[in-house]
Amino acid sequence: MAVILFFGRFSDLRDRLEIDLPENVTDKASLTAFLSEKIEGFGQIAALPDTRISVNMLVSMNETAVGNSDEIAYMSALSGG
Amino acid sequence: MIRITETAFDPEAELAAFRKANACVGALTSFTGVVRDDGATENLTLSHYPGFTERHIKSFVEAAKSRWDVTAVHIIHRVGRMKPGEPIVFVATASAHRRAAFEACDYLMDRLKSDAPFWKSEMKAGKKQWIEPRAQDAADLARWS
Repeated sequence: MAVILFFGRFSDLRDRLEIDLPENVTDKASLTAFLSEKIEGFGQIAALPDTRISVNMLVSMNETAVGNSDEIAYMSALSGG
Repeated sequence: MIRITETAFDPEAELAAFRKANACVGALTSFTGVVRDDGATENLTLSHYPGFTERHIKSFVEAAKSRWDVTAVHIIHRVGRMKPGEPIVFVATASAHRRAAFEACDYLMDRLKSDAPFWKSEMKAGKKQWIEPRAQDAADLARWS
């Protein structure tokens, strides 16, 4: 079961999701498409500039593989102190 | 030392402790960021990604230490809900010479501002709004590349 965390603007939609990923969700791009279908408003936030995604606390690229043992975090633009 | 805390902190007490721990170094610099009181902000909320955020800040400190001859760094960052006037962030650096202490402190604040995984929202007139990074923040960060 994958753990998906949501930060920044994403946290307005959910804080956390634990889910068995479908077989066709294998990378960041397909996961983003899957979540856009599942969560209303997700796609709009994911399309914003400076959105970042990490897999197991490593910032990922589009082709990074994701699976059911991963912790994946969606982060909107950062705004520190 | 890096500390992310939901508890309010006293920058003067932190600086005094830092000064005591680095009494003979030569140069100490500190910066404190506080929640701006613009008369309309009711509160500010900061969130972070535990573990991930600390890892990033640690990498900033390592980068600062490799770039300048700093002997000690102390960073405190608040998370949770804060009111105007409350400290958000405290950075202190110690070095044998003032220029290294100044520049390392400045660099660390720019990295914290633009690269640290924190998310900030403010409440104004009962309405929550996310705070976006500003062009000035990116320009500040670009000074170090």
